[in-house]
Amino acid sequence: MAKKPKITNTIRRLRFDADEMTQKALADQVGVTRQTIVAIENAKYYPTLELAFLIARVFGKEISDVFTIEMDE
Amino acid sequence: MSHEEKNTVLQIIIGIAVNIWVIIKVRGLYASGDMEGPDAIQIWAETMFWVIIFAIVGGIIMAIIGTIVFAIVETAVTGEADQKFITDERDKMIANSGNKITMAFTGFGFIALIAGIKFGYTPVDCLVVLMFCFSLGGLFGELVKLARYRMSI
Repeated sequence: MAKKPKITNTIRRLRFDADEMTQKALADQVGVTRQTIVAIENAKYYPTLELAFLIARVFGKEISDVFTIEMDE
Repeated sequence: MSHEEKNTVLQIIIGIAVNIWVIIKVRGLYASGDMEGPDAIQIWAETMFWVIIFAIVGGIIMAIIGTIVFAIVETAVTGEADQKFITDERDKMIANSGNKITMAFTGFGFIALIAGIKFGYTPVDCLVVLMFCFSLGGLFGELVKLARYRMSI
């Protein structure tokens, strides 16, 4: 059986680069709770496509610059 | 803790209280012999009707008090209370998983009711089982939600 692919992200680094933006500030900008941002950063929760686009837009990046899929062989 | 997670904790406390109350009420009905008479279903239904009404009203009051208490504790610990009552996509996903558990209990209760009647148990006994499945399903649904909140951070 094929393993579930893992989606990693660079949100933590992007926040750091964006003048150390807090998780709460990012959450406020995309309309979710801080806990959801924590869960996404830790790859414990995969956001919907809509939220993924919103997060990428906050940092002025393409969605593929923020989220990457890792396929386990 | 997000607003919905706090709400889940409150719902668990309310769920435990309601389950204990239902057990006490039903035990009282059996002890008094009310569940064996010809009016057993009417007496049980009247009791459960008021249990449900008080559970809803009590739940709302508890939710208000709980929100205030959480805000006070949060302010004391972190210096500021989260005043945004946001329900986001993750909350909805977690709520769905809790609802599935509640639905499973409810479905089991309904099948148990039909099977119980088929195998000769009194309708009122079967209704008691159905009621327990409802209230336990609600409680377990909230417990699953809390577990998912804790595991996904």
